Amino acid sequence: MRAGTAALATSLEGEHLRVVTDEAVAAGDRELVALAPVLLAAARYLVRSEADAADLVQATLEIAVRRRSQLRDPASLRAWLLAIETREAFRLRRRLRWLVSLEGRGVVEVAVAGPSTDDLAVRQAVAALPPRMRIAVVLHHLAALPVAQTAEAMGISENTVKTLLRLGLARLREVLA
Amino acid sequence: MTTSRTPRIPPTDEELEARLQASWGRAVARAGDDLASGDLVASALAAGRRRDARRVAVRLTFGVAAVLVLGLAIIVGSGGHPNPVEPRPSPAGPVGSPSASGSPVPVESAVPVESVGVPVLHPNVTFPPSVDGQAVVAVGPEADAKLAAATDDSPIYVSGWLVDGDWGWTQCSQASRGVPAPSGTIGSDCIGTLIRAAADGGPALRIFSTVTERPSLAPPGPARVQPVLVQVHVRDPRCDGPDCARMPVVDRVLLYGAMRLAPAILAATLPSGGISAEQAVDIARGQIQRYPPPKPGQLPVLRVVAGTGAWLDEDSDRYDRWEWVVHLMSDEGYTEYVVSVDYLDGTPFSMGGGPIAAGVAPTPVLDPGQIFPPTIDGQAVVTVGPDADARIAAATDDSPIYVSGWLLGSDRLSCGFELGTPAPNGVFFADCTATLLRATGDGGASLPIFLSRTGDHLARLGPTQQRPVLLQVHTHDPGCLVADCTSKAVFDRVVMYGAARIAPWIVGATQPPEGVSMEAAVTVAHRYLTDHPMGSGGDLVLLSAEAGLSAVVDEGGAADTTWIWAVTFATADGYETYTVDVDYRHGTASHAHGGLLLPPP
Repeated sequence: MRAGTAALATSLEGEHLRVVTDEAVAAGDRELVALAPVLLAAARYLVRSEADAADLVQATLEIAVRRRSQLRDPASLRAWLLAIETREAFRLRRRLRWLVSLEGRGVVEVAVAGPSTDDLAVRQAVAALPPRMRIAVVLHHLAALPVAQTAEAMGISENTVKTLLRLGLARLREVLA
Repeated sequence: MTTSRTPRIPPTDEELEARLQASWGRAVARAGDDLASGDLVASALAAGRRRDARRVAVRLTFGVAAVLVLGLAIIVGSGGHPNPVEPRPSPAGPVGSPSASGSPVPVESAVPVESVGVPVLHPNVTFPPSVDGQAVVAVGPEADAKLAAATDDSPIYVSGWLVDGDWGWTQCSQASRGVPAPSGTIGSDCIGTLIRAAADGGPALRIFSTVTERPSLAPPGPARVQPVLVQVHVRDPRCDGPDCARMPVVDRVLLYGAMRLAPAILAATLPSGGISAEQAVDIARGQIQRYPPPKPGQLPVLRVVAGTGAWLDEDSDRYDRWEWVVHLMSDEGYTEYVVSVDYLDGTPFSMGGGPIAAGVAPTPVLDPGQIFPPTIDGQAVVTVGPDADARIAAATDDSPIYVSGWLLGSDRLSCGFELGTPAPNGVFFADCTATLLRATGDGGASLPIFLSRTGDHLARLGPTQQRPVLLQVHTHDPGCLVADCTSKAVFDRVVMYGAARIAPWIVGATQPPEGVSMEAAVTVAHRYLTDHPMGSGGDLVLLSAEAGLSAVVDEGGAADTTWIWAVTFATADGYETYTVDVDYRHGTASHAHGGLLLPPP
C-alpha cells in the first residue's frame, strides 16, 4: 500500500488494519515484522514498480516463514532475509520478462506524496544501474551487508561483488555530482 | 553560448556514502510507515504459515505412506525399494532453451498463482468495511440495491476491482446521457468504467466520470487488475433526464489496492509445440514486406518475446492467446515494426509500429551543409560556429541571416533579466526563451536563437529527437531596448527542416518496462503546476503528453538521461506553454519549464 493510500486508510479505519498486524506479531513473527521495512525499502530499489516491490516483500516473508528452520544463526536473520529477497528479485525479473504488457503501456500509479528531491535523485541513480550492479550496491552500500554476505546472497564471488561495487560507485558518483 | 549549467563536482566517497545512507534511512522509515497501516506483512506471514503447515502435513502423509509401503514390501518379500517419497516441486519447470522446437530464446513457463504469493483478495479484506460510519458495499447485488434505494446524491462507497480492458468509451444514447452542461458535464462524453466484483470478472457496475474527473479513475495497465474503493453518487443534479438519474457518478477514489497481474495471466501456461522464435521472425519479416512501401535490407531483430494476452470484455468472455511478439527495425533505424504471430500455428494477426522509442538505431551524423542549399535568395547560409558568429557580429541591422544547424530535443537556454528588458508588446526577451542551435547532432558549438512572440515558432521536438534545420534570423531586433541584446539572433522563420532522428545518446537505452500511465502523468503534472504557479497562472489546457528519454545536454555533448512523461499544457490565452517532466517509473514530477506556444511544424 502506498504512502498516501496508507495515510488515508489510517485516517479512515486505522484500527481495522492495525488489528491484522498485531495478530501477526502475536503469533511469534516479531523479528520478521521488524525487518519488513528494510525489505520493502530494498525491494523498492530492486524492482521497478510499487506493486512488484510489495509482491517481493510478500514472497520473501512467506519463504522466510516456511524455511525459518534452515536459518542456522539467528543473528544473521537480516542478511538471510535480504538474500531471499535478492533471489526472489532475480526470479521475479525473469518471470515478468514474459508476463508484463507487450504493448508498451505502463503501470498506473496514483500520485502520492513522494520522497524528497535528494531521495529521488539517489533512487533514480541507483535504478539506472544495471541489475546486478544495482543489487550489489543496494545490499552493500544501502542495506550495509558485508561483501561476503552480498556475494552469498547474489550467488557470485566476492571479487565479482567488489568489481560491481567499484563500477557502481563510480557511476553513482558521476550521476549524483 | 552554452547552456547555463553549473559545473558538476563529483562527490567524495565519504559524501556519497553519507548521502546513500541518509537516503536509505529515510527509505526504511517511509517503508515502515507504509507497512504500518497495510496488511501486506500480516497476509504474507499468514500465507507462509499456512503453506508451512500444508508442507508438514504432506510430508507426514508421505512418510506414513512410505512406512506402510515398506512394511508391506517386507511382508510380501517383494524386494522393492522402500525409499520414502519426498514431495517435489511442481514438474512444470521452465521450458528451457533450446526447446524441442529449436527456439534459441529461453521461455519460462508461467508460474502458478499460489507459488508467487499473489493472493486475489476481495477488496473488503484489504479495505476498511466502512467510511464515515457508512458501510462500504461491494459490487454486485449489494451495491445495486444501495444505488437503487438512493433518493438523493449522497455519497455511496463501493469497492470492487478495476480490470484491464474495462475502460473506455461506452455507447449510450443521447437520452440516457443527460444534457451536456458547460462544465463538469455528467455523461456528456459517456465515459464509463466497469468495476468488477472480482479480479477475474463477475458482476460489474458501470461508473461514470465527469469530464473533469476523468483522470481520477485510472485503469490499470494491460494484464493487470487493481482493487479500488470509490465514492459515487446517483441522481446527479446536472442530469435532467430520467435515465441518467440512476447513473452512478464517481466523486473520488478513496483507496487503491496494490496492483496485481491478472489471474488469467498468472494462471496461463505456455502451450507446448509452438513455432520457434526464428520461424516467428521469418513470418514477421514476410508480413511486413507484404505491405508497401518496400523495406530494403534485412529488418534487424530488436526483440522477440513469447507471452499471452488476456482480455476481459464486458460480458466476461475471456480471450487468451499465446503469441510471439516480434519487434523488427528498419535498416535505417528510424522505424520499429511490431508483429504478433500466433505461438502455435504461426499465423500473423496484428501488426503495428512507429518511430523507434528506445534507441538501437544507427544514427549517422550529417553535416547540415550536406542537406541544405548553400544559399538562400543569393545569400550564403552559414553554419553554427565561427561562420555564424562572424556573420552575426558583422550585422548592422535586422536584415535576414540564414543559419543552419541542429535542434536537439531538450536544448533550451534559461537566462536572467540581464539579457534584455521586457517590452510591452512582442516581446523580445520578455521571457528569455531561447533555443540552442547546435553545430552537429552530437552537440558542439551552439548559437542561442531567441524567440519573439509575434514571430513564427520553432518546431517542438520530442525529448529524444534531433532535427537539422535551416533558420532565418535577424539581429538588432526593434523589440530590444538595451545594447546587449542587439547582437542576439532572433528567430524569424524555419526555412527548411531535415528529417528528425533519434539522438545518438539514447543508443542502447531502453524504455523502462513499467511506468506510470499517461493519465496518471497528466494528473501529476497538472497538480505540480497548480502547486507551483508559473507565469500568469489560470486555466491550463493539455497539449500533449509524450513518453521518452529526457536528455540534458552538457557543453561537451554528454547527457544525463531519464525516461519521463513530458506533459505540456498551454495557458488559456494560448501564448505560453509549460512542460512538466514526470518521472516515467515513479510518477514524480521533477521540474517544469516554460516556453512559447510552439505549434507542430
